[in-house]
Amino acid sequence: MVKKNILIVDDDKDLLLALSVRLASVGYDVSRAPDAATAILKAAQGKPDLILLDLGLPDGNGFFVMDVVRQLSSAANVPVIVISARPQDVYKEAAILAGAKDYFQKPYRNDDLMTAIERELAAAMPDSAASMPGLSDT
Amino acid sequence: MNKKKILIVDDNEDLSKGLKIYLRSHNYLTVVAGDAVSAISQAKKEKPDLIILDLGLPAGDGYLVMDRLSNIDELATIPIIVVSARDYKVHKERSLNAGAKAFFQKPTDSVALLAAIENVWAEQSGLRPITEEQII
Repeated sequence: MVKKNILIVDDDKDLLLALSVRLASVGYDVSRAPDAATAILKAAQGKPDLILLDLGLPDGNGFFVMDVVRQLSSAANVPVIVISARPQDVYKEAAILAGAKDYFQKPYRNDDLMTAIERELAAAMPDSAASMPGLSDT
Repeated sequence: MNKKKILIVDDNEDLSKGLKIYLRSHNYLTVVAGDAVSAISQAKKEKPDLIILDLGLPAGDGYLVMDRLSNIDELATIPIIVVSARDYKVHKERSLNAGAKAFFQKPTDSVALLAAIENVWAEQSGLRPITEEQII
């Protein structure tokens, strides 16, 4: 069974590593980008199934990444979940308007994030819901 | 200091756009071409410092582009890095024999590609380029 690929975009190396390990441990294939330009290149050529996106990035911001990804024919419909230290009462609505499916303000509960990831992957590809790590019968 | 100009030749518009943004964020100028014919015309017009070249292209392929460029005096020395989905076991050696400086199979590691580009500048300035093993 092909693993779902999740692209994590964050300039916080510790968070990048911790989240990578956690996602890999539950069966996801993970790719990482520490800045906006790398994120866009990886989205363009890697076709991730979902993107976890920080807003504050060294060479741009998450809104720019979402805007460009929406213009990529291969990745335009990839679900994006924003993970940011920015206050959600200010930024969540803007992120959702920009196309994000959900918004998590750091620090967040890992279980809540995992549930959101499974939900969005299942919604993006309804027929493959059984392949989600949390729903697997193996 | 003048920015280096890189010509991106790929018929995949997503990849062209991604590479363009990535290279611009690393302080390069970029121009693009989506097929073999426009690759040659863009090279003549823009005189890039380096070409990132896909192999599978409409109106010819990357080998045709390399062959044509090598026969045009003012363009023959432009360094070329091949970025292709084709099997590296077959096409890496063929690309290098055709004059490419490096071969990357898609999906390409962005850091390694950047290092290969910087290697070309190092080679041109007489500095010792780092090896492929060091990049990886």
